Amino acid sequence: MIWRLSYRLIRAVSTAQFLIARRASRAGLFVLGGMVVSAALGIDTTQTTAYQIFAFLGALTLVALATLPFIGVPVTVQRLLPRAVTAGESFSYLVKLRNGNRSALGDIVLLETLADPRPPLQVFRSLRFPTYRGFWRLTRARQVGDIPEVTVPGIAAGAESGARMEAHALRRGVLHFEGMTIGRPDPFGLFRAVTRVTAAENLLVLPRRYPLPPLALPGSRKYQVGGVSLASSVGDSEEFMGLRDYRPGDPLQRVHWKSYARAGRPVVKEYQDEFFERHALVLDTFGNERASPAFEEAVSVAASFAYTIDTQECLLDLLFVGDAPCAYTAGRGQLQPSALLEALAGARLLPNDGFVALRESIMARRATLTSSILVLIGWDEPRRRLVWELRVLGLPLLVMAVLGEPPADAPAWLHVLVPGRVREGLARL
Amino acid sequence: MKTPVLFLGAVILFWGAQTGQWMVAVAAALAIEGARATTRRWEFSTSDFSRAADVCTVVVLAVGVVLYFSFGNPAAIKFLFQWLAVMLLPLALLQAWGTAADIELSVLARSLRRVRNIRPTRFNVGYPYAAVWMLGASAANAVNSSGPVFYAGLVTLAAWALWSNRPRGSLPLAWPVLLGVAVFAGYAGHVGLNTLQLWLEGNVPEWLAGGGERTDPYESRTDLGRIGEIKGSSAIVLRVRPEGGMARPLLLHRASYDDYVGSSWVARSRAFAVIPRSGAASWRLQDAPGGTSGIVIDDNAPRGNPVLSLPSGATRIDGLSAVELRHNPLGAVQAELGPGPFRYIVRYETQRDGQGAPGEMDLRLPRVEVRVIEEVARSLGLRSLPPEEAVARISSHFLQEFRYALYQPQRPAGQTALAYFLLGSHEGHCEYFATATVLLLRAAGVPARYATGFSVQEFSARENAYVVRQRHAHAWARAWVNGRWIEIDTTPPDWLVAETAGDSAWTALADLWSWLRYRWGRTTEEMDRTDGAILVTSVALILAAWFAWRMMRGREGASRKQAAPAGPRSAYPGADSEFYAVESRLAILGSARPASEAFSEWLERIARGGTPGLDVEAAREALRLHYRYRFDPQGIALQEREELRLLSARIVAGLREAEAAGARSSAG
Repeated sequence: MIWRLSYRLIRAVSTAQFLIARRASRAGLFVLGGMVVSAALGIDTTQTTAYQIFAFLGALTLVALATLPFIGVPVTVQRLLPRAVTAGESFSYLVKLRNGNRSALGDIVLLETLADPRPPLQVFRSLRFPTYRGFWRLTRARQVGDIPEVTVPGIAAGAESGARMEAHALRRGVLHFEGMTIGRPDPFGLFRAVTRVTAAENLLVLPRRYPLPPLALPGSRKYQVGGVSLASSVGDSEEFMGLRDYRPGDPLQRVHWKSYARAGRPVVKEYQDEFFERHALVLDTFGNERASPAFEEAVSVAASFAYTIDTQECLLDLLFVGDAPCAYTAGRGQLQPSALLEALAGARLLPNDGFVALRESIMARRATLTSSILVLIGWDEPRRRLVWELRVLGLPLLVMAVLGEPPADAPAWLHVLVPGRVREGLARL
Repeated sequence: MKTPVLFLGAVILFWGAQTGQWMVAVAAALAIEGARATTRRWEFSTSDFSRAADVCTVVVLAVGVVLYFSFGNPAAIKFLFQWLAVMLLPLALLQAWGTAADIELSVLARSLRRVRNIRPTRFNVGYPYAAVWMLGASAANAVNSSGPVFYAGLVTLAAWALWSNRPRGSLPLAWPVLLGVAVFAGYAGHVGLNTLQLWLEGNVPEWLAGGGERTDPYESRTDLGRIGEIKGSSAIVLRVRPEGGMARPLLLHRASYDDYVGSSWVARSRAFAVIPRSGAASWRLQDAPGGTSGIVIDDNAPRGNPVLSLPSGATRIDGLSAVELRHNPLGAVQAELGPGPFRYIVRYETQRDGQGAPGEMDLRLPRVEVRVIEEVARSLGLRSLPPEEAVARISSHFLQEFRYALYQPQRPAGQTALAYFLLGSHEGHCEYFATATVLLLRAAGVPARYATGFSVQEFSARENAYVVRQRHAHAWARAWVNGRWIEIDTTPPDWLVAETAGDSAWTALADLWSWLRYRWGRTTEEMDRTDGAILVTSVALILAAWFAWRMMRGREGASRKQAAPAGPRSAYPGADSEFYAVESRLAILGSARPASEAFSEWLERIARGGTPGLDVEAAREALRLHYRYRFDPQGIALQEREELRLLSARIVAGLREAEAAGARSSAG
């Protein structure tokens, strides 16, 4: 009851705040604030003359508000969004405006209407106390992007103009634009006559990425069952493709001795065949609500690997469990690395008990894998067991766990990354 | 939003005009507007601003506390607001003399600094600071001396600010017309508000008089009928210093009432009349050649317009700086005075009383109590006695048969509190005794009234004066005997001992605190007003100088480097080119140049579109010169510079003319 009531109240207050911020310019907010202060100070008209300030500001507000119905906003807009942006980075995009009027327009204010980031009641209930501050924190945490208003200096009659919106992507996911609010100020510049244009669009916000040290992925090439479909010709064709540097695991027969002699380092002939290096990048998506910051960092770590590993020469499988186990393969005529980032942008945290699905997904591919990079967000029994099984299989592993505090029994090969200091941890790999 | 040149200075001088503190105003205005006269700037970081804000907060809090303890609440708030802007000077000076165009909102309070914000709100101190000065000017409340000057100043300054921030592209005539409407409505509105409050004060006195320890000359609610213990507060309300000897206990009368309704005494003879002044700060209450005894009374009216505490037979009041003094036929004297502590000297003659003769109300018995009163009067045989003897018999009856008690037990159903007191319990507090005495006197045919006030009897060696506490509040009867009003206090004399019994160790501490507050109040009051201003200003200046030295030390080097790009003139070579005026003029006409477009592309685009009044050839030539002025490492010759100026002026003039012509034709 108290939760529902306070939720309604806080929500109503935030709605009012939002609407006032849309309708009033900074000068308008200043005038409203001045009214409140002068009303408090001038409540007894025999003590101070602040009531005169109150009366004047009130009259100014009323006059400004009264002009709003007479101000039309004959403007059409079109957004030119980038394809994707990265969380934690600023970005900008263009908005094309067209003045449909036969006379020139003065200042125009553009405000984006984004999807409502306020938490629903169930999420609000997860707070310890029903406070406005908590509500505000939740709202902040759910906000994908922040786009401040932009003032366009004016458009000639029937002309087009452009405005550059400076925005900031706060977290990965989908930034949903619901529409755009276009405002024109009253003659005093205190309030705005607004019109809302529906212009629904989505912008993908990719996970934040970290710089990685130069990586030498361990492991040898593996025969790919049915992997021929990954090459450009079928069967046992040993079609010569070119020369490349030797990598551990290349058969000696393939060494191109002449080139070895010329270059001074082993060079092998490359054929279009079914022997590939194939790495798995496994992202752990299971944990409770408290693991949420660690999960975000884990997604960023996975994104860093997905983007950094050179898939010219190998395949990279991104494995994680969303609604169903997902596998995305990049490299060699498959997906681009950016597609893996897009997939990661949609990763969600799932309840801890579904971890077995991830294990099965990895085990199903174990025969084709050269090595595996595991990004975990816990270090409990099922995870230990998975790592142990993979080690027993002899699969070279790079295991990272994003944990608030390192476990006491962490083995030496486990890289523990602490949220907030992930960059340091990755530099030590 | 930056304030226009001289705007802040004008607001500060307006504050000076309203408060009369010209010295402070001129100094502050020069300190702030002086920054515009030079391009020297210092580089202050966000943490410097935070430190300045902290200093301001500490100063405001400290001054607030001192003001609260010396003047009490409404006055303290008024003073605080009046001087608030002066206390915020460090912050404003940092903004004025620093290179930063605006500061983060979070520097203002520590709680805001803890919140990590993705897009911190930034603001220029200018307008909010001007608003604080304006509120300070309003707190000076110079409306009596200067009439509508405050409103005129407010409107002028606000119009200045609004004009410099008006949005581009609105109808030129709309602005002044709408402002005129707002000014008129604001004037009507504030006059209306003031009239409404005065009407309410005049017609709903109880609304303003209710609550607190204030004496209401119209009605006195008694505690008759209240069950349980009554506890009086030990707070000191009055200090009484006799000039010669003084009879103890002395009753200080505040108000009398003549009608008993329910459990309240009400004054039916309500009308207050103005007492004519006999000197600058003295009033004559009776036509008598002055009193033999005199006392000095220190009082405090937290909400203004107090009822004075006067001994019986008061002849004149001196040394009271009130606007007006009024009295009612029942002897209550009310002063028209602002809130806060005040002092007055009373001369009195015990044998003389200036109150009017009794009326019909002074003999009336309330219907509810008639039966009981008549019964007691009969048993005492009051009917047949002459007034003096009736008074003596009633007094001895209460003295012998009754006991003082603060505790009241549950009384039998169907009996009024007064009846139970007279016939049942025979114990109660002063209100019972006074009420019963008044009603019995009336039953005996002696006109009588219920009087309230204080009993002066506790002498404080520390203060060398009598102190009167809240619990010394007392009620007694006044009777008309032998053509004059005499005071009859039938409450058993041990009542004070009973009242004092509840004193705790805290009382001594509270007394000391009260005395210190009183001493401080007296000191500040005795200090001349200009002395105070000089003291406050010099302390503020020393603080500001120290703070400025702390802030500016070691930052000068940075400032020289930083000041150059920050100054408006030398931001980049050619920044003062007149071609920018052409650009902004065209932007107003709706041909704004997006940041991504070069000037030449933009000009060609406009030229193709055809803007009325634009001399394209001249504009191209001006642009060529502008480019050279901006980017030619050799610079341009003085003659070419002059040509750029003339060309730009001509283009702007042409655009204006065409616009005016267009407006005329569309109006026609």
